[in-house]
Amino acid sequence: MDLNRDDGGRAVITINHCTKRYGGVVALNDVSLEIYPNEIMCLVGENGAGKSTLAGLLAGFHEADEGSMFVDGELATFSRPSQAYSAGVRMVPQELMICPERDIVDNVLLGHQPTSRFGFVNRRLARAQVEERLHRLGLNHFQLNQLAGSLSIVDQAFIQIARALTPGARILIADEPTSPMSAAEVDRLLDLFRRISESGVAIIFVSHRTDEVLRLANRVLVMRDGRLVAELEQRDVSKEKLMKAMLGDKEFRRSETFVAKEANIRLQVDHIETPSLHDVSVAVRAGEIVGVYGIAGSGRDELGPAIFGANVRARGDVRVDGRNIPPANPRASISKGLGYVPAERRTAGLILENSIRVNLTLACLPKFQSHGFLKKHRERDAVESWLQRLRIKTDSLDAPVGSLSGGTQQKVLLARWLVAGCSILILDEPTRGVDIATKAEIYSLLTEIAREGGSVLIVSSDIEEIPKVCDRAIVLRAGIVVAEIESPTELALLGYALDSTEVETNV
Amino acid sequence: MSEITESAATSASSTSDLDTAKPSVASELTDASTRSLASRIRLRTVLQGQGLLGILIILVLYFTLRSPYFLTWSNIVTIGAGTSVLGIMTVAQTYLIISGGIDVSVGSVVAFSGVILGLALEHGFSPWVAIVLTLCSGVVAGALNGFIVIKLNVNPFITTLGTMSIFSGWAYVMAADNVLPASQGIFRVIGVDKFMGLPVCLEIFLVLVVLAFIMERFTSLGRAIFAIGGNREASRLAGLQVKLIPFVLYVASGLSASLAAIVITSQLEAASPQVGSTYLLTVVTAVILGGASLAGGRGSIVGTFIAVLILAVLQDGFGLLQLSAFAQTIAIGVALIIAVLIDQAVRRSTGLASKKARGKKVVRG
Repeated sequence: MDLNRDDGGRAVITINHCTKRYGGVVALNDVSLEIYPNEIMCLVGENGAGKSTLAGLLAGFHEADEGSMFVDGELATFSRPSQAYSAGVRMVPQELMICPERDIVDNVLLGHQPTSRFGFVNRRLARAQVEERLHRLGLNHFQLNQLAGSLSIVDQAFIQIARALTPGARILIADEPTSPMSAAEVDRLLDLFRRISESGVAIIFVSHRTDEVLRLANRVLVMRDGRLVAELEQRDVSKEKLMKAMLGDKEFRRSETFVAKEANIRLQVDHIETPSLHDVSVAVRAGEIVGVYGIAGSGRDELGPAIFGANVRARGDVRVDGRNIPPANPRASISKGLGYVPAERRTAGLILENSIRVNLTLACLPKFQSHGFLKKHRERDAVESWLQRLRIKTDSLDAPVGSLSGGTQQKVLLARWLVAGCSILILDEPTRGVDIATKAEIYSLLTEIAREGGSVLIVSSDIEEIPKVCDRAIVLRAGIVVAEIESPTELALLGYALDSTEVETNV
Repeated sequence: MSEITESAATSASSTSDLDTAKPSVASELTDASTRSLASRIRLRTVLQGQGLLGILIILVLYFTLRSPYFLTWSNIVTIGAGTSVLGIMTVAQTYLIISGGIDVSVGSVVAFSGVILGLALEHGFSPWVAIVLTLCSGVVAGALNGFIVIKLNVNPFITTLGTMSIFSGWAYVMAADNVLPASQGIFRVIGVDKFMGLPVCLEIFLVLVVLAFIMERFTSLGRAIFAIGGNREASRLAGLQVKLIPFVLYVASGLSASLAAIVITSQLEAASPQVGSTYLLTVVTAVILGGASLAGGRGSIVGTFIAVLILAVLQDGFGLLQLSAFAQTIAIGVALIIAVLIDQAVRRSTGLASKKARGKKVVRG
């Protein structure tokens, strides 16, 4: 292992052939890299590529199953965040974590307030420390007694960064810090990162926004499917190269389509307005599978809930088979034949402690009852036949659904709507955290639904998924529909989704 | 006895049913870890049910050995009659807690409804009209709780803590320190008389338990209650009545408290605003001891029933042994914490303990 770079700089941290698995999913596959002081290293890749797992490894949130790590050339274990901290690793989490009711001083020093001999907080010293730290970062525009909750998003991010940069910081990891920010705010943030790196702290910037990466990085590492697939120096980075590396050279296409040109529209969504979506309209015909793509912050995760009525704050018209459905009323949506598979299957989809049977029939209990009493044998027969059709393997219908693999859980969730007889489905991230074999099964199931005249709307951040199964796709950027693409390709989707016109698209 | 054991064992988990024992026709097993987890979970349900039943048996044996009067028919009848007031309230409370709610105001509603009953009689209403008025007051009290929790979205514990104070104070204001007599015939029937050898008040409790058991096991309402408590958002997205059902359960809780008020007024032949204070938290204690989870989604009427018996046996046994009532209070507290600790330990070993925490840990790429 060569720990010295050509130019003589020594790596602060070296990761050597690390692999990390979650159940059957390999999140990180034989990754090796070195991090040098002063550099700004960008880590890019699609969702699920392994970026956050790698960042988590560096921050000591989880330990690698295989491989080793070195700090200044010495073997080190990062099994606890405190170990990573003492090695100088500081992490700015993706979500803003501030105490909105406390002032800036408290938020910057959170948990590390200087105290006097008797344990009282020394406010004057605390204030001086924060002033000094913000000054060092060139952040002189803060009123220190302002409540953190009243600050703009970017200022809150600054506070978080200032909090992370305690004495002894050598590496700062920022995990997609720009996703909720506007262009001007991003500029200020990138400037801050440049200043920090000039002070000797290495920056690891996790992002999938290529233009930010191009502006900021000294070095770009591209991840795909848990592997490091490319390492590009600043001088030979280009947008095309980045996107090619992120996508690989896979171009999948669905072989058959079932949508007749004049098929009737089964799901018509008009003028959806939510906090982050503006005037979004989409229609799905019988036999059609339509994809919705957008990067994080595009508002894509609000579309599914808004259509189904899971999101109370949504406005707009939703018509199913020509009939209006009232807003914010899942019951009404279901009764019209509309089913929704949420992205957060463990928290919003399944009742983990309950059995497969209970979870499967949850949306259609009236089907299996007479006078309020459940006909358990009828229910059992129906559940068993669906389990067989979906090839869900289990030793017992009464096994808690939480004990099943992620892929099987997703199949159960999908099957719930099939048992209920819903033929118009909205799926949010249908294959997130699902193994490859089950992914293929889910795709063929969706294709089958379409063949039988159903309509499917897939909202996904997985760019490979949409070309694979969708007849058509819309692309969201900053809350609006920027493109509608027949037979979408990955390149076209990504081109529209990012703020970019440079990419050649053949629509 | 073995029959009871069996039903207690299977009831401890919402997921298992009486037909668990039948071989599953589902496809053959491939994942070894799924098997061990599934079998351990069934073991858990067995452990929990029997553990609770075991505590009851040990207590009964202990008091039988210590006192010749304990295991006599007349004492058993006394225990049964004494526990029916608490028992009636635990039935509704069980499902309220399973659905993710809680009602700590029931004790005050007992006082409130009891005073309504006494005042109605004092104003010359016939006993039957007074009883209907009393039950109505319970429905109103429950509906108020339900409205505040469900419609105004206030935390159920805080809501019922508030209404607990309101109903208790209101009862005292209305009664103005009087004890209101209630000694008409019907109250003798409810409070003192026996029907087929058992006190009528105990029979009311037993009938409610049987109805609850049927509701829990065989109706879609029972299924929905567990689902809503297990994961409210998932249940809402599956189209369940996540507002109506909990609301009805709050009403049921208030109604059961007013029924309990009628029983205790009958037993004492008088209504007093003071009676409710005995039941302030005992109802919730019994339900939790019976294996229900405050987080919702878990619990059973059989568990609650056994827990109520344990509390009753403790009370009676300590009385017979002339131990202090305060020692009994200590014993109940210890029993509650030990029962919950055992439950948690078993759940942790099956990997389902920190459902909430695991739900939050999103593994990202």
